[in-house]
Amino acid sequence: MTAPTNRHVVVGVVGHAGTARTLAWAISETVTTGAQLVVVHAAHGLRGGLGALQMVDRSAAGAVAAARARLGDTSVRIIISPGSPGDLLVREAGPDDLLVLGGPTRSGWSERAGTVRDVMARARCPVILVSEQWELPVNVLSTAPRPWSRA
Amino acid sequence: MGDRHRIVVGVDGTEGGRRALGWALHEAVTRGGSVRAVMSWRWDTASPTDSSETVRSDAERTLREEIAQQGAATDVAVSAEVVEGRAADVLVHAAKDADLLVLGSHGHSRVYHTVLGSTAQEVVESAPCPVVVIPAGPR
Repeated sequence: MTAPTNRHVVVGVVGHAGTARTLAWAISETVTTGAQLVVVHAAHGLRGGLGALQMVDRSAAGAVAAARARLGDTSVRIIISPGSPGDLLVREAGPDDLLVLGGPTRSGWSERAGTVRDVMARARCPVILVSEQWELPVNVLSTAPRPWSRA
Repeated sequence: MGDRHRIVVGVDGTEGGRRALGWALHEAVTRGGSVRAVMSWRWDTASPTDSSETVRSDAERTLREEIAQQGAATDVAVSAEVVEGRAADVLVHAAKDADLLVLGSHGHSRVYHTVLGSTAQEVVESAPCPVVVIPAGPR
């Protein structure tokens, strides 16, 4: 299987439990299709790459580092930057890309409804919502690098 | 993802459904997958003068036409299914064994229900697989 030419899988990392599932799906999609992974997190007063991600979410940083080791540094880009999550995500995802976000949590939409609403209204590409209720299938577990393979 | 990427797409005769079907077909061509196009119908929401048979056959015709319009140029395996029931229930059930469920959004708005639509929101909350929402396109 191949990905459309130059596709980026842009995934929003928000620093809570649902991120594991969302990131696992995005990494698996990247591994399967050969697309480039772009990991995005909006943080006040923080800017950078893997080091900054480690400060925000150590587990996510571990998974992204594993994905980099498997796919190569040039296939995984990390953007930690101040600003609104919606602005960052919409800016990074072009018309041929995929935007991957967490869907509803077990308690509903409240935690991330604002970002999802904002992105849905402005996205230039398909938006994939990965719900917390969704069980990670075996094919995703086997494709995504650790530690999500144990998630 | 398996070797055969199974994509379920909701089609409803609207522009949003058309965008969803178009993206699903393109994705299936690119990934070597299959597409299952699903349309729901309900007699209790149709015109009181229409029989259930009329409503169902109208839905079947619409779905056939939508697929023919977009699918004719592709070599993708496309199956079509018209199912009686609430759209959200029908789509969630159809996605049971799918890798992706594809829906069209209702357009640009800051109001969440309008952007996603109440059916799409309900589907996202209950779907057994990731849900792809195709936006209305750049403004």
